[in-house]
Amino acid sequence: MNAARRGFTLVELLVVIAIIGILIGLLLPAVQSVREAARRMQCGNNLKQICLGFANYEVLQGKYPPGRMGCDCWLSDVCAGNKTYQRPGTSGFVMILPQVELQSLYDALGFEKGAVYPTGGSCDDGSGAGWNVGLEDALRQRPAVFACPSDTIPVLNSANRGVGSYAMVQGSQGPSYGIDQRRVKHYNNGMFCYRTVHKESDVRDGTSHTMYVGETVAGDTPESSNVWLVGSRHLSSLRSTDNPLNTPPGEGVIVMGSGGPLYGVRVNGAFASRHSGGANFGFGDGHVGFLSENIDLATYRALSTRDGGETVSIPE
Amino acid sequence: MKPIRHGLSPLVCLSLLVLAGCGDGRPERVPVAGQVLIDGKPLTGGFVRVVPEDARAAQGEIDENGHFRLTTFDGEDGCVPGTHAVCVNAAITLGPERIQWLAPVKYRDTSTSGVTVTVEGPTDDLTIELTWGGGQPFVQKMEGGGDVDPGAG
Repeated sequence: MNAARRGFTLVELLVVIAIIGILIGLLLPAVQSVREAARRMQCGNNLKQICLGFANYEVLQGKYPPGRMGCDCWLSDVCAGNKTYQRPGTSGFVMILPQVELQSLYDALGFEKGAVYPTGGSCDDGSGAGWNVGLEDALRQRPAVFACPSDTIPVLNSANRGVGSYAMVQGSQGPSYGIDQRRVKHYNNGMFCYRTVHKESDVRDGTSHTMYVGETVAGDTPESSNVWLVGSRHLSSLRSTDNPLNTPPGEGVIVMGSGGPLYGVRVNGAFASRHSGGANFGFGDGHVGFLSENIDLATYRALSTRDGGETVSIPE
Repeated sequence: MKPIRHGLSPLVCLSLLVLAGCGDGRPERVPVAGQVLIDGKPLTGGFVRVVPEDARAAQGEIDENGHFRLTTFDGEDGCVPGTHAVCVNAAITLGPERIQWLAPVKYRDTSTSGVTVTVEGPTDDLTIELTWGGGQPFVQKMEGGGDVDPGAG
């Protein structure tokens, strides 16, 4: 036998490379989908932690936290005569930090002493409209529990505030209702509003049929800005089911002002995710469900209200 | 010849596998465009939403001539065929306490709008007719206070 018989021919080599190529081609999408499945599961786990945090808070305090601590310049009803709470935009997520094992951050934010944004003050003279700069280090924190691993957001936005992937469910009254103090902000039909608080007994639709927390995307952009420290109508950690699930930021029904979108930003207040075909939601009883983006609007909204009286079954 | 024929079948299988992965699992939609009229004249702004009972809703922005194109998932993919409830939200927020209505408030919700459309196939002249019923555009005053520019967050 001569030496030429011992090696591989070019054809043999190409065939082997082609076979390996095909096998890798088959494997790679499978690996990617398994990785995404793991991220989705981690995301669901975060939502479960947050929902259990709300449940534990309710047990301790006898009521859930509000979606947003303060009133933003309204002086009637739930906001009457309470100047201290006139403006703070601190979100309900901040208030449950001790219940999600983040007591040290809670202490650092000094929640009992004041609010993160706006800091308080009066609407008459515009005081206290900015961030509480004394808390700068704490304001730059973004705990992992408030970010979905599939979401493509940075930890901090351009103003150096922590960007989150989750938002509390305000209800079904979103941008179609403008910035109505009553229907959107303070007396929306979901679990979390400005200043107004609810008890578990208020959830007449049943906690297993009421969504508490959902996902958002692009929290570092103006259209879908999500600072986990803050609750704001249609933005940050308060959203609605007015627009269908997974409506891309900037699309769908937005609040129009005279001469274009209000404040120049197309805000749709929608829940959305980077997962394929739908998004995770955390429910009041602590379970996490994955809703398809093809869910009809009536069912989707019924799941977001606390006492709408609808009979809905959660679609698989 | 035979080895070559056997060599082809894995390729056929592979291409079938690849093609099978191409469906997006979304329901069939047809492109829909049209115009919203109120008392016969074009509505000059707002949003139209078509709400199927068992599928995702479609939405479109209304331009100054009343024209709109529907989007269900992305692009201008239209809506699923069938007869569906419709709502039209034509509100301009003038400030925290004032909303200007270009169409009656009742059209904001499908539960009160009483408007339906039937989409049988692709169309670019779906007409949605609304009426003031004797009323006229008005500015609604709401009780309330200020609203901090949310962009600051």
